[in-house]
Amino acid sequence: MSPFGPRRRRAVSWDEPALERAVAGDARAQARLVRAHQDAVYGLLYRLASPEEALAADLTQETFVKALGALPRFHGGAEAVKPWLLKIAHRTFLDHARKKQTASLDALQEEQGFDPPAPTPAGEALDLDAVGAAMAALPPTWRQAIWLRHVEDAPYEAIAEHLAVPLGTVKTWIHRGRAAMRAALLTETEVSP
Amino acid sequence: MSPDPTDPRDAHWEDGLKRWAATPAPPAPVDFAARLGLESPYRPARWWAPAIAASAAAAFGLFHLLGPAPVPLAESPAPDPILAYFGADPWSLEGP
Repeated sequence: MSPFGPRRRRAVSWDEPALERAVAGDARAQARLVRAHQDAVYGLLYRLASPEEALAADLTQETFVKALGALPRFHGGAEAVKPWLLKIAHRTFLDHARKKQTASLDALQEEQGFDPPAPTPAGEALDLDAVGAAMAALPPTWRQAIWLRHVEDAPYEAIAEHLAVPLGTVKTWIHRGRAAMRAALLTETEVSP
Repeated sequence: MSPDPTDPRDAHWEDGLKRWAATPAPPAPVDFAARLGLESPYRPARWWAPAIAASAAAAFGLFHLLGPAPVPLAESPAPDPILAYFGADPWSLEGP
């Protein structure tokens, strides 16, 4: 990164003719597709993978590899590309989370519960860093479900379809995620009986 | 839509979560189009730019190859006192 802060890039325009060329296999149009959407895809994965920035970058690359492979089968318009890419990004993150959970303590944490950090002092505004830390402390699957439900306001059925998991699983993740967030971000007045 | 029982205690962190999510994320740290080999991150140079650069380099090289080698001032021979007294031909009988 530049010592003067994040490098700013010129916004890349994205329209129907560019989409047609990209679907037809034009590498320059595909590069334009990637450049027009890479900040949005990376931004989502940066939040989901927080605080692992390198992981967010790797998953962003994986998302675009999958998307370019599936591009010949894409039939939407230019505006539909971004939601489509974000959906692929969500599934890529979930695939990674599942692989990781099979070999890490996350599965154990998910089974045995969540160890909440110290409560927020009463009367203080909720610190956004604390919110980020609470999200980062969640098992990845819960974190993703909480994001979709409470940030993107997606209904349960849409989340299940989005992530290609059963509805009951989504409800469980959200229920556990909420309890964990509530416990992590309790104020002292809520802790005391 | 599924029934979504809300807990009043969730409003506290839900608001914080939305504000946290709304803070701008950093831009992508690399150009993924270049990383995927779709296109170089650099604009292709004008076709005449390399030609001009090569011509300039060739001219500079030729000048140094064919031109007179500069003589360092410190190594310049001191003026010969005999030549200085008798002129260019020291055997001339005409004298200075």
